[in-house]
Amino acid sequence: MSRSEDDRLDALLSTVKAEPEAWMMTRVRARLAAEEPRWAAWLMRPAALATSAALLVAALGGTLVVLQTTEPATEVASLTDALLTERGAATASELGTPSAGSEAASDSESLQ
Amino acid sequence: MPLDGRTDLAELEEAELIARLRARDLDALGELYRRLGGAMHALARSLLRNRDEADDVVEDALLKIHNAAASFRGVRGLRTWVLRIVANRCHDVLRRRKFVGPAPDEVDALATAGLHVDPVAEWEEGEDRARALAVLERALGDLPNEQREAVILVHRLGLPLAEAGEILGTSEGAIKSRLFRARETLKVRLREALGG
Repeated sequence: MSRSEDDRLDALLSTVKAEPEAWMMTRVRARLAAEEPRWAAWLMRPAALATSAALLVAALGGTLVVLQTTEPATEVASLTDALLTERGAATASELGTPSAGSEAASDSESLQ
Repeated sequence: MPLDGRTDLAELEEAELIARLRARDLDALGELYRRLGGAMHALARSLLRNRDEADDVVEDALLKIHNAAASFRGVRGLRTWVLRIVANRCHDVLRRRKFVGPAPDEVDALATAGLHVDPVAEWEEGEDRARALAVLERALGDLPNEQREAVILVHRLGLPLAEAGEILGTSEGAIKSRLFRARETLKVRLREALGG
């Protein structure tokens, strides 16, 4: 292969160019502006909307049920607590139980 | 196209450009396109030989660059990364493409691809440049894809062998081998058509 043949090939190959297009960035910006986030696109699907609505109704219903069933239990608990508190106070006063601080003090005294 | 000779200033500017791209700055994407758009179009149009398809590839590549810039590590350099994205998109198009027969002889292969001749290129007196270019484009189109892309990157865009290898995901040796075979074929085609 002659040198001139290689030179000719190199010259022919390197002389062909392309330039940036003025409209390209306008198109890219428009496509980026039109793109919405994936999660928003997913949420806008009819199936996803129906699922979301069903989940909302189920959650509201569940909350109502829980509120209704827990109210009486609170009352019972309050009554029981009140009774126990009252009973405990009465027992303590009958037995004259000393406080924890005075027990500790007497123990220390006995050790000495 | 600023495809050769890297200065510290250029590297500094590139680092700043990468930082702005990572922040999803659209003006930075425009700056990248201004710097590398010529090479992006030349690569896509030379590989696909269809202007519309090639421009769609460049557009998709710019969107990909914008969306993936945050994960760009900068190990290979911005130009390598950008042209690798373009080359991969071209591979996708070529894989999907049905068989396309050779264009009729009268069709201007360069114009169809959206490529043009550098107006300041030196040329020998009396040589039929238009005919030589037409023959060469046709011969390029007949090369296997892997040889054609090596020729485009190294001889048309002027990239170093190592960078061409990184863009195509292969070794420098493989690029040399592809270039040798491609050049032999192209020279034979030119000799047959134009005389030696």
